[in-house]
Amino acid sequence: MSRDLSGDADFERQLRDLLEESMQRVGGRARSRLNQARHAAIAEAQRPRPWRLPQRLVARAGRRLLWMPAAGAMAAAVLVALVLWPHAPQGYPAADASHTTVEDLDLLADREGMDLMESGDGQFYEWAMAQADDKSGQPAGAGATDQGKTRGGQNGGGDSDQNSG
Amino acid sequence: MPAASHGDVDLSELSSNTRGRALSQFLAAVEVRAFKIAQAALRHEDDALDAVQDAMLQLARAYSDRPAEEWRPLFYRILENRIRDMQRRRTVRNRVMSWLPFRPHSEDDEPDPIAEAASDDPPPVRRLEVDEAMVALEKALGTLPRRQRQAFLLRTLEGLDVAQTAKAMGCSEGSVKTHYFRALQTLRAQLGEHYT
Repeated sequence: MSRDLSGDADFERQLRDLLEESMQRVGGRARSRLNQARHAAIAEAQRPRPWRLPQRLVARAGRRLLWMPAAGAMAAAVLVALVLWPHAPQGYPAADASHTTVEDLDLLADREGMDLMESGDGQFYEWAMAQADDKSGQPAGAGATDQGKTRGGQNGGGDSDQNSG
Repeated sequence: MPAASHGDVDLSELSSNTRGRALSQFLAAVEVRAFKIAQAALRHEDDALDAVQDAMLQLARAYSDRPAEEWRPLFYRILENRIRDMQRRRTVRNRVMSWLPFRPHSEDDEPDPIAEAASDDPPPVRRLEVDEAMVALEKALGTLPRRQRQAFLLRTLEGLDVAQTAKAMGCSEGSVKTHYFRALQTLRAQLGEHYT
């Protein structure tokens, strides 16, 4: 498709000239009203305005407020879920996982403790059970031998072998 | 915090006055063109003046603090919104009026001799030619789709570049080029006999 580009430019120029000329012929009444409108606008711009947040901040806050109902509903749903969720039976406090993990690490890092466990010597545990029975007021199943074991046990797992021997 | 001051001159006051002067110059430069653009869209002088006045007030109220180079596209965007509001209102009013058994006589229908008075007087023959060409152009502009008319007037009458026109119209620069090109084609087809 061939187009007369110079003709287009000329046509544009003619239209522009016509519009410019028509602007020169705007009537006095219209000019007077435009003048009044301009002065009213200037007075409006120079009028001290009460302090207000910048429009962008207000718009951003408004957009955030739109999410408030959804966020509130979500928070309420989470709260209800937490209240109604089946808990562990009362009287069995949940183990503190982080605390348990730290204790386990201590045990694993303790070389002596590992030796004690690996030696298979249950004397220490027997003593500990006897001590627990004594404290609860129940008769201990252990006699003088147990007392000797106790003394040996108090010195440590490795020493108990020597005392009993 | 006290306002910044230098000697006896209040700098905030000075800044306000400077901004007011700049805004006044800007509005004085665009007001007649804006009026012609509004008049081409609304085909009614008083409505066009109202639209321009509202756009001026809105610009001064909400955007006078913005950099001056942003005023032009902002102003024409506000003006276009006002024009569209008035066209919608007029459509509703016409629908309501069409249901009435008679049309009340309006003073607006009478020609106002003051309104008809021109600011300067070209030779009668030239004036007649311009009148005829202008009537034909306004008629052709009235047949253009809104976006095409807007693009044509902002580019041709106001002299905005493509980027500024796109900002004023709230569309892409490619859309501006398309609307402008189609507007020119339509006008040329309709006004070809008036221009050689």
